[in-house]
Amino acid sequence: MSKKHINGIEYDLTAEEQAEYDARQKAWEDASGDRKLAQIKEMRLQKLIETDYLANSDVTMPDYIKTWRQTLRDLPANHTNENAYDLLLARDSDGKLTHSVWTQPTS
Amino acid sequence: MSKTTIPKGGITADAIDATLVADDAISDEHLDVTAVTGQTAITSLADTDKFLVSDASDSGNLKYVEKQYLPSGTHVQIAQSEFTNSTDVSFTSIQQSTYNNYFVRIEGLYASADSTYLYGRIYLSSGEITSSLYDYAVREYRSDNNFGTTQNQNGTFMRFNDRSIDDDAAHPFFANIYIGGVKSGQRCQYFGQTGFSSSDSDNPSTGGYISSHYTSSQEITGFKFYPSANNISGKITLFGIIT
Repeated sequence: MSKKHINGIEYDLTAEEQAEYDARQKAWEDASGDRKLAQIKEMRLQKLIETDYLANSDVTMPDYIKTWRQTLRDLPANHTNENAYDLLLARDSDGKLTHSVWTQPTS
Repeated sequence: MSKTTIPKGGITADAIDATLVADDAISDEHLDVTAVTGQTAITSLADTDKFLVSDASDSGNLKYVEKQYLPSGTHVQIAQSEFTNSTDVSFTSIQQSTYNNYFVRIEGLYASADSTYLYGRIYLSSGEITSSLYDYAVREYRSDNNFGTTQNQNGTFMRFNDRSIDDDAAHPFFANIYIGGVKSGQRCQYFGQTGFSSSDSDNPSTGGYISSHYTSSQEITGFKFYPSANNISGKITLFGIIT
């Protein structure tokens, strides 16, 4: 039985509250893939923003950056299940993203 | 006057009065500490409880002052919840007849799983309001030069963060939230700041501004904080503000 706190005192959830909590929890678990894809899109947007300045008329965007940006745009199309999302979101023990797609190429 | 001997039979009640004891006859060093420590301890104070004072405006003569006359701060703690793995944290005794404004301090909050957001609702005398009567706006700035926003109108809850609460107690969420307008005829408004960190390397620190309200204007009787899913641990303290 889950616990709630009212005015500093702990209580068990009522059966009705527990059912509502369980439904909320199931909806959260069912949306796991959607949450991960949203996170990937947000990270992708940030990476694209970081190189947007290369699209200005007074600079030339290198081809390897163009290719990388297209790869980022294609992430949702080319990664379509939760296992693939997990690989994209994987981090090492320092919290650094490990998938190579997030590293901006230098050549 | 020479010293005398106290009879072995003891001293009868009220035998020693002011006429027999000169001023300052008993100095501080003769008072046993059990005069204080031997008394029964109490853990809360009534307005008419008394404290012994030396009145500076009257030659230091001993007098008493009642608790109701002691100076106090403008924030009066109403309730505090310290919790582990809770589905929700509510305050339903907010003394709305005494206070119209409140301060909520949220400390060291973390979730049992990632992708968890902190929500809020209010209580009326009829109970928790779950209908679509809440608006909220959240704006966050992050130390990696990112920002985030989330907002909604006519939703079934208020939301207090865009970036999710971390699932690690070492990366807690904090918030200071002012709540005003709990009386009938007023719109109950939340306004505050948040600060939290993430264990993800690219989002180490986030500061947020939050504003939300309950769109009806009835008398509010309580506040509820709960996670979008999963459970939360931490401490939430509710203060009433004296205006």
